[in-house]
Amino acid sequence: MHGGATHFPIALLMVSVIFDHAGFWWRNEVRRREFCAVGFYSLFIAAVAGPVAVVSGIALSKGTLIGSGMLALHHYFVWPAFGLLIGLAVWRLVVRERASRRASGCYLALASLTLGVMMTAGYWGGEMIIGK
Amino acid sequence: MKLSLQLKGIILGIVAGLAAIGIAFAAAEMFQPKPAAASGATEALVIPPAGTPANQGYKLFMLNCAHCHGADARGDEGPDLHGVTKSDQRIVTIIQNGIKGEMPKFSAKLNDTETRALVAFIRTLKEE
Repeated sequence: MHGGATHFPIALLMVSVIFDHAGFWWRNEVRRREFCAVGFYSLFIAAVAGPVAVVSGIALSKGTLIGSGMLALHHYFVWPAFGLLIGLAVWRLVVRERASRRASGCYLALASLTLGVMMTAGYWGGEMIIGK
Repeated sequence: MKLSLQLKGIILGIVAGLAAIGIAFAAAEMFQPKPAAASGATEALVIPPAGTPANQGYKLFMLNCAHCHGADARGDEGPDLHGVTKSDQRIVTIIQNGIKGEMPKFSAKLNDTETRALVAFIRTLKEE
């Protein structure tokens, strides 16, 4: 179940970051709002799917929080990524489209970092079960 | 003092992020095996002397195998590796080709020398 559930937050966060970047840089105001709306809803669903992926992973590893070897490498990135994902989603829920340009820029930088951390966690997760 | 909307969002975001990690850590306890149901093996692995193939095998084991076979090699998702009775060649074949539906193959990840080092390490794991 973890193998299936974990791809939803990764893919949705990726979509969210791409559309938020488009919304940040696009000149047309209407398009900009539409792109940001896609980014917002993708992030929101990713944040809802995140706990499912995390709980299924915890169940798979029998409650191991760090572990050893590749599992530890996976966890070093998973926990910060999970916290950041939830934190970003809550910030977005509170602020909605009322964020200043500067705050949106900071948000984008942090969301991009979160995506990088999450993809690194995904890489180590894949290495564990697939090998190379 | 009236907080701006963005500052409220930042504070709530930080609290929610930390709470999410905290809840996940608390939930993990529910999935941890009960002490009575555990294997009973609590001893740490004896690390083979540095510079030996078995020592290299130990390092490879900790990186590639411990998350399934347990950090003490006493078994978890995968079986206990102490006192394995299979031949060296059979173990090499299993590591390289895996077991369908049970264990991934490591042929593209570990070369022949590394696989042999893993076997050397597994041979140091004696049944009590």
